[in-house]
Amino acid sequence: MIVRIKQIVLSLLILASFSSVAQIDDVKTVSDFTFSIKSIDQFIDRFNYDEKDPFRIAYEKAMGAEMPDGRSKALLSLFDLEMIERANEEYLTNVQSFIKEANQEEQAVFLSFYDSHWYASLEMDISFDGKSYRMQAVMANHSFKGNRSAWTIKAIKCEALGWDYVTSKPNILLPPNSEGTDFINFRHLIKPNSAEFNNRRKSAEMEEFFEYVAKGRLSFSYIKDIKYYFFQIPGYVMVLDEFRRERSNSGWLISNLLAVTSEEKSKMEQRMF
Amino acid sequence: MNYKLNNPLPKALLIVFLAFLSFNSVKAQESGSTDEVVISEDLMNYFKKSVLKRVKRLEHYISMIADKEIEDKLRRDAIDQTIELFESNNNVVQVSYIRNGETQVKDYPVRTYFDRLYAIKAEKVDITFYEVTQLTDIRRGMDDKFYATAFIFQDTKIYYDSESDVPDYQDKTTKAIDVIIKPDTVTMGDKAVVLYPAKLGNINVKETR
Repeated sequence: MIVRIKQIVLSLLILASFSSVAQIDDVKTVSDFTFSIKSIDQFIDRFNYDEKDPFRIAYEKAMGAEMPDGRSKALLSLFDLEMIERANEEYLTNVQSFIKEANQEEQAVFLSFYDSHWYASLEMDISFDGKSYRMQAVMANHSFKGNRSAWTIKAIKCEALGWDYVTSKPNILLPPNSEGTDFINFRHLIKPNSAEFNNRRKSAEMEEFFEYVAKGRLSFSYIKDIKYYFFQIPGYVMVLDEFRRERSNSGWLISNLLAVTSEEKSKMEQRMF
Repeated sequence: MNYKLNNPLPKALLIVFLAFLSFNSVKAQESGSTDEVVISEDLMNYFKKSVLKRVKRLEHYISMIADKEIEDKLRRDAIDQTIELFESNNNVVQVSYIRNGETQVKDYPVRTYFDRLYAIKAEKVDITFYEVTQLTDIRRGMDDKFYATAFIFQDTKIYYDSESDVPDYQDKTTKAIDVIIKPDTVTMGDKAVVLYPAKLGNINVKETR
């Protein structure tokens, strides 16, 4: 089994670099950019082996045929392949099972941007009463009436300050594409006394937190780290990190795949908040 | 404008580009809402073309602002025209790069960013873009505007000696650009017509090399 998955990794690396055969620097650069997963949108397209995934398009164009076992290869390409090459037998078995189960003919698993149970975890530095702390904001993408959607703050945590705010009410609605630019708008939107902030800070559970902002006691610095957690796939939890490197296997990739029971998964999801 | 792609990959990339042009309709799930709004595929395609056109103009202006061989007044005018592409003067360009394993981040208001680009101290600055623009799905926000993110790929070469063929500094950056389409109803004669102008928002710049 291990040999099989390593063979697939190898063939995938060859496939991903098929456009650099000519050894032209620009070609490799363009190929790396094209196949790099730059947003969660692109991650979902690759996961679903959607017809607009550049990986699929480029292969079919170059070879004039569909990629054999294309979806399995697309799913594997979502993992950090450098880690896969070093992974132990247990992890590789998990990956193999995950790909097989996600790709079952009758019960194939697909993702949608509008799914519930997936989150962005933002780590950022804050200043509170003049001192620096590290804070975590858990963001969820929420669908509303009329085909509208928005990113909302689900939880705010800061261990050093004893903050553990959780809300189920959508508040501080960031545009639906905010993850595409790594939530730059988070710290620009949440500014004391800005009209947008005052209009949107609707959540009793988070009122204390919003009051700190409104009174100027709390300000935000840059987001230091973003991770995505996907809980919607039966039997698994996926953790995504961004890998910045000059390879086609780069961008938002699966850094950890956990095989879990539904009870374990439920507990893990609860621990997010 | 100088675009790169004199290599064996263009066919595949052209397909990528065309695939993005043949956009699917909005894929939103609704929880039994009564004010369901269905965006036609034609309108989505129109949005997409409009967004890509605006992104191309941004690329064009960036190359112009940086190019010291272009008349100074034209480069200054290009900054003003670039600012008009954005939704607001408050939009920012966030630049991040990794040094010694640490991510460094800085925000610049859009005008400051383009003023700095104009003022780079060098004999020659050459900025080119690869024709590999990618666009996420376009989604409707709570304010009834439509949002997407465009990704462009930029190559910057800086020369301190105008005679030199070898750049003293070179980097390749991916720019993720927020794109906002705000429906605007105007009256033409006795008819109300909805226009969908695309504007740019915040930009996230990541150095890749």
